[in-house]
Amino acid sequence: MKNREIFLRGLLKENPVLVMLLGTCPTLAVTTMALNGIGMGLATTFVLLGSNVVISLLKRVIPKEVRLPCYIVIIAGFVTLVGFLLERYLPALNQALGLFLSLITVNCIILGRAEMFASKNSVGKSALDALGMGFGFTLALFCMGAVRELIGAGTIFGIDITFGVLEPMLIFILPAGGFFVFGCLIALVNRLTKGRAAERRSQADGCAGCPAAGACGGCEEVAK
Amino acid sequence: MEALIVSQSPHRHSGVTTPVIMRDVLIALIPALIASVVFFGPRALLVTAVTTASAIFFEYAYRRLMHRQQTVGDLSAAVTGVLLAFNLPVSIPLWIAVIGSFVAIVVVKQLFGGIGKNFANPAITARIVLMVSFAVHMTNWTEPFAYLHPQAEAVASATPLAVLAGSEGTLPSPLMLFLGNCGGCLGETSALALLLGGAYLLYKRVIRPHIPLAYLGTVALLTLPFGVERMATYLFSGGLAIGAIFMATDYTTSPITGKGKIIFGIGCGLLTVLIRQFGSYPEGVSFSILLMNLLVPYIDIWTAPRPFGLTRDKKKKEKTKTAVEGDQTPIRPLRDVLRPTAVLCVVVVLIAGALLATYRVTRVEEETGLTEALISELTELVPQGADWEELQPPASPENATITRCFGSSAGHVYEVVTKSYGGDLTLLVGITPEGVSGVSVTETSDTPGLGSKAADEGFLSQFAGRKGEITVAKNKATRDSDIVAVAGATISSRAVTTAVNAALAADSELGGDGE
Amino acid sequence: MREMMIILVSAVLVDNFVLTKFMGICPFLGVSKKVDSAAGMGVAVTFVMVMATLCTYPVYTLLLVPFGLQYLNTVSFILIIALFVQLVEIILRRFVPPLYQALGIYLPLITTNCAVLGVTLLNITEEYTFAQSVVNALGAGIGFTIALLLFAGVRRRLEAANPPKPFSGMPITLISAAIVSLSFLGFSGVVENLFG
Repeated sequence: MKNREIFLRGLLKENPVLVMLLGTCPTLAVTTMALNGIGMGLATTFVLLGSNVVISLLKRVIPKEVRLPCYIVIIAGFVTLVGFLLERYLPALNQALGLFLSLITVNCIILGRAEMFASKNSVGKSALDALGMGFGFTLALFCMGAVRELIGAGTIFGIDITFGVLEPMLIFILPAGGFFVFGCLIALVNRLTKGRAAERRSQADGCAGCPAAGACGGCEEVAK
Repeated sequence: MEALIVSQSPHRHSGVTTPVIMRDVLIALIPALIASVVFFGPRALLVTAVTTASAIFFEYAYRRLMHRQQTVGDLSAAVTGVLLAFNLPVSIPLWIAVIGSFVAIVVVKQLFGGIGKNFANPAITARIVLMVSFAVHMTNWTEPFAYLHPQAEAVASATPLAVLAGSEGTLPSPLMLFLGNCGGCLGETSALALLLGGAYLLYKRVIRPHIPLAYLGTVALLTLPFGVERMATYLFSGGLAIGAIFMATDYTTSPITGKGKIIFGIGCGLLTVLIRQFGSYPEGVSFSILLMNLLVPYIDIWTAPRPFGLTRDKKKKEKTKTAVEGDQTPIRPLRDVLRPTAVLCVVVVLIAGALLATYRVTRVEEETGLTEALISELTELVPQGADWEELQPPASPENATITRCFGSSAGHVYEVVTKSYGGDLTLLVGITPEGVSGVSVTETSDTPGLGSKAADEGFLSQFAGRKGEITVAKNKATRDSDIVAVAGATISSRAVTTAVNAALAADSELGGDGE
Repeated sequence: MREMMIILVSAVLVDNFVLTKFMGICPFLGVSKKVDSAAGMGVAVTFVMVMATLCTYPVYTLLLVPFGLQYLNTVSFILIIALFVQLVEIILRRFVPPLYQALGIYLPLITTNCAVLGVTLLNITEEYTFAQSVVNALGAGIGFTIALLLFAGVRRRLEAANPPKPFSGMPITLISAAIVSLSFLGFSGVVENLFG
């Protein structure tokens, strides 16, 4: 597969959140503000890049039997590293992301890419894949965050745009609003891709990489 | 519906169709509509007209756009529109009412496929959405008959429910509540009008008595120990009557069997009393009905009549058969496990070591024991402050606790914890020799959109520059020491003020010169 | 005792892990299709949450803190959880096959479940005592199970629903989840006022 394709695929066609439906927890939790969404996306991209590269480097060394715990530990290491960096240089973002920063560790996207791509491909390609998927994730989070912040708080990036006339609809920054916006966003993607997104979900290897492939109902095709 | 009589053909249509049923409901709602106009004026009619028209419009437009069979004719949209209006206060801005119609018709009902396919009551869900999104507008009650004196200043009055929950105000007598001479949403006030409608519906066999009786009965039983008058007040205030008669009985979202209906009614009653007594939101009816809606699938399973002759044993036999053929993979010898484990351990140690190294490099200098994030928060409250250090907190007054104290060159910041509506409220108060220099709320458990507004800039900026004891006024400041409370969040505003006063008192104890 | 009740009931109703805290969404959306699998998953998760707390809390307080290694909590906790789940799977498979048949497939899903790692980390950030942590984990698990069961009931109704094509599948499920989440807002304030 051409390098450019590897990168672009994560961005749109196989967008981890909107098409593959992975990483839903942070998508719902940290998107009350667009800026937080972007921050989370970039932090995840950093971890994804690091873990993909390291796992690709070690792919011949890590035995098959313990590969999942190894991957998890490597990912956790990078997550902790990101935590250090944010605490030092971006404490506000660190505060906003809170627990979900540490929860990047169990983000299906990262483990999925490690299993399906990084363990089978070169370092360069793994890095590209990580960047594509990571930016795709960031894009999705930004969309969610922007919509929720605009309607729910009347601001964008913290800038008030209600001009004192419009009123925000609070429910959008509450959990119920998060579910709702996410649902509508996926419906929009379904509409725009005319159902091809759903097909891709079953064909592509995003879900199969998740160790839960058999049990998770979201991947019925894999379980069959 | 239990009276299914199976007879031989020929059969004749009984004439009962959905439009007929819906028309009966609309007729039953007329007394309540009249009552709402009597108590709240012609605007009540306007709001009702707007919600009903927009509901019908949204359903029509949706079915057109989605190329589905047009269902506006079954009048269910109209009923939803009217019921929604009855859940809104008369002063609600019309655009919010339209949003409510959209939520009820499009999101809760049509998106799932239309009548019969939704699992949540449309009007109830819409009311909750509006309540959460536009809390201030949704709790802006007006006194009955206020429309007769337009020149008089609009005074926001507390509803009987709010008073029951602890707000200030006088409770109208149960008779007044029964007739409807009290504040509240359009269709909520007159229990009499609603009961008339309910009687009509029972007569026409549109609703069965199970749910209303079970619901009202449960509430009555639970509140009876507090006295008959209290019980009557409970029964006739808020959306209980309209909820029990018109909303909880919605066919689509309530159980099928009579037994199921009774369970449903009891559940609603229990939850309503629980939320009204202990919850942050004064009205429990909407949440109760929605929560019970969620349980309907289970209620239907539990109360399903058993088909004649069905035995349970067959199912069990099938289950055990497949279970015994379990996984028989043998345990691996130890040698095979050793190498992977060793690799794993090496990886772990390497990672831990790498983290240890990077930690040393990126660690924040913690000489002062205060993180950079905290220092920036403190400096925001006391702008010229430098050389922050944490001090021993001074003694706290009785109604607030001073948990931390920070000193700087320009003033002090106190972390105060006090009791508010939904739980504890934690604030940081900055005080300089000029008085209060800044207030920020760090933790609140108050109702989002209502009590949580006491954390807003607009409200907190009132404290700037204050020195002496601060008092709270509800609508307008009358004394010099007054600050104005957040509309609909008096208790939270009072809590904040108590905390600030405590900080001021503590500061003057310290010597108050901001050493 | 009162505090314990507050923690327990809060975790179940007001700060429900799935509907309010957004943890454990993947299994919530995936496994809630059938009531049996929902119940099984809920029990499995509760069990792992409590066990994980029993393992991670001592490690944190007795091993990490004294050596100033608190930042290693993410790495160590997830490792403990992964190994524990692996262990449980082996034990079940060998000694209790029927139980393995019922719950075994959910176990890998639990390792990568935000909720389990989340609850162990939350115990630390909320600075709970050991007893409070266990109660918190129990409450989180029960809340997760209740949310799952409730949603399974709702999804039964959804099978008969007829949404527009772009909304069928995940979108309508999410909107249903929005409504369920909405209903739980009614419990805010109940816990503090009931026990406080």
